Amino acid sequence: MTSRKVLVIDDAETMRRAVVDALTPAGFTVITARDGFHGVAALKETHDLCLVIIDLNMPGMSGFGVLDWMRKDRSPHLPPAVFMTTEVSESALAQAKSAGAVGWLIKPCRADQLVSVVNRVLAKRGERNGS
Amino acid sequence: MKSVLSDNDLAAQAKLLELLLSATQDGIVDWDLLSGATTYNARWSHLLGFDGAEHAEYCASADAWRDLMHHEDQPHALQLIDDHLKQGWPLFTTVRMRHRYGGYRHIMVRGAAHRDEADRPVRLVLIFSDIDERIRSEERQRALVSALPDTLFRVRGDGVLLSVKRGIEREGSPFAALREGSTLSNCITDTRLLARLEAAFAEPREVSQDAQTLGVTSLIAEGTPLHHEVRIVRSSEDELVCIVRDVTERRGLEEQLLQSQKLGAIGQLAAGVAHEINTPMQFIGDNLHFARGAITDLLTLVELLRSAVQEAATGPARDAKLAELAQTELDLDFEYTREALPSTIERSLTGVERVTAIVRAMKSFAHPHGDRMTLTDLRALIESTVMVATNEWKYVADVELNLDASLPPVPCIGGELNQVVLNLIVNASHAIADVVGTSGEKGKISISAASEEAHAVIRVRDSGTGIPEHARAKVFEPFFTTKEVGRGTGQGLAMAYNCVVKRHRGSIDFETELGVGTTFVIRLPLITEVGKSGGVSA
Repeated sequence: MTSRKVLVIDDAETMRRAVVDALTPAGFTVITARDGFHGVAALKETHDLCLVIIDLNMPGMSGFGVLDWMRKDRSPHLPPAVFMTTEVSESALAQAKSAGAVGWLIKPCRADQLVSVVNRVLAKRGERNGS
Repeated sequence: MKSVLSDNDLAAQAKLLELLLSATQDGIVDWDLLSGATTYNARWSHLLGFDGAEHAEYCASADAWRDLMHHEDQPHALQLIDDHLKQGWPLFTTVRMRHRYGGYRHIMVRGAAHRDEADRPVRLVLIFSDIDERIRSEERQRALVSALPDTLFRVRGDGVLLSVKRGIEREGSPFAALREGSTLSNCITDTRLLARLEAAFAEPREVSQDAQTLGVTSLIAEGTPLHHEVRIVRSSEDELVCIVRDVTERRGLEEQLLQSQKLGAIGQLAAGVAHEINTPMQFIGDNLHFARGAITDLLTLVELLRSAVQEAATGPARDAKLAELAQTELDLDFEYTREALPSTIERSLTGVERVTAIVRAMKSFAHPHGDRMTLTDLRALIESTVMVATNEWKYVADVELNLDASLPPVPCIGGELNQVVLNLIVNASHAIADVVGTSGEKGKISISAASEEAHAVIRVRDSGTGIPEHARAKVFEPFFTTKEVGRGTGQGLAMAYNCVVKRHRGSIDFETELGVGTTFVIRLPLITEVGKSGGVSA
């Protein structure tokens, strides 16, 4: 059975809670980290994640910093990454794609949108792993 | 949404939608992905310069939005649409679209797909916003910025460099390693400069307040100083814009100017000094002429005395010789010679001493201790300056010196400070000359130096005209002068201010009363940060 555990890295507490509130009823277990450094620590420790949702702009280590670390670490247990930001620029999108992110959420988003994006990403992931 | 809507509700919603579509400034394309049908709102073709009739014609084609896109931008835009439809990536890009009247306009394209129960996209709405003006003004701004010779960078509160625009930089510039995305502390190796920047960044500033200028000197390894001026403006709550200008050349020119001002002053003084030397030389010459005559006379008498002495011992013509001797003494006025000769020699020696003193003062004025901060005997500095400037004051004033013997050596740049004192003496003489005119009367210049608490204080007081009210606020401004052409250039007090306040971190003020005179007061700190200011200084 595939894991249903999601990690959320965001410096805003309200955002972390919103994701927990949206994904928990849809059958996900959500763990949270309050910045990039804690996020990386959680990624090292937790080996059964199906997805990580990362805020782009965080003090200290930014979302790209986390993605960079993931790309260099290359541990097989690392989950696919989705960005979540309030604003979006073409260059940031291009950077995220080339850094290996699999999706992007624009804040604010409704709970059902969040769930559908997560499901879509996981479905694609499943297809790829299956083939 | 599963709620069931009545026909009335649907009609109302359709009406609202229609209103929104016609009111919006954006062009909207609604693309049914299943049937391929595409509808455009009127605004869409309007954006590109087509009127109503043409709109119907052009927008008959489902592919109009693709066809009018610049061929270079099309593949990227289509790729982004594909990413959005297949993977849900945000759809957001800027493309150039052909305009009805030629050329292209920059259009921002955003889009969102509607998906069915199985999460398949069935419909795509594309929104076209005209951002041509913004893009072009951004391009103009970028062109403007890139034409500047300065280095510009934006830095966030945590030290991350958000953008860097390189200027023209010399080899060894501490700003040469700035890189976008890196942090300030990784790019600037000079710790003193870094600390100074960080301290400046930490100061509270209002958004878009006037730029604050931070003077920076940085030394590079080979010892060639590079000077940079850093301007800082807050561009948002968490962001500063810094403009770094290389002012090495300007500093060099400033130093040359200072040097040439100094040489100019010496040149002006030279005529006065020549006169000062000429007077004693003239009477030394007169005295020597007199002494030559007197000595010839004395030798004549000595000859006579010798033969008289010989005659007295042996010869018969003793009385005749003695009479001749007495007569010659009278003829040559021996008594006068005996009295005058020693004092003539004395006076000549005095004259020689005076010339020597003037030459010494001139030398010490020109090259006192170089251009560095050194502990300097202010009394000697003032004395030699007064001496060198003698010709400036002696016809209009007497100078009274009151220099405290207990004044300790003062850290200062002697070569500049004597200029300041000279300028004040010259100004005082001019002010007094305006009062006494050619009456032959003399005013008074009093110069005192003493230590007061942590400062050495020099006062230069004159009994001149005083500074008129309208000029008081401007006396320290460069090129401000009330003197007629040829008498002043408006540089003297500006130079004094620069030297005392900026270079010595002291102060210069004046008290003045019309018809009574003016006193300039210079305060120099007795303790300075000499030696501390190696790498970075204002």
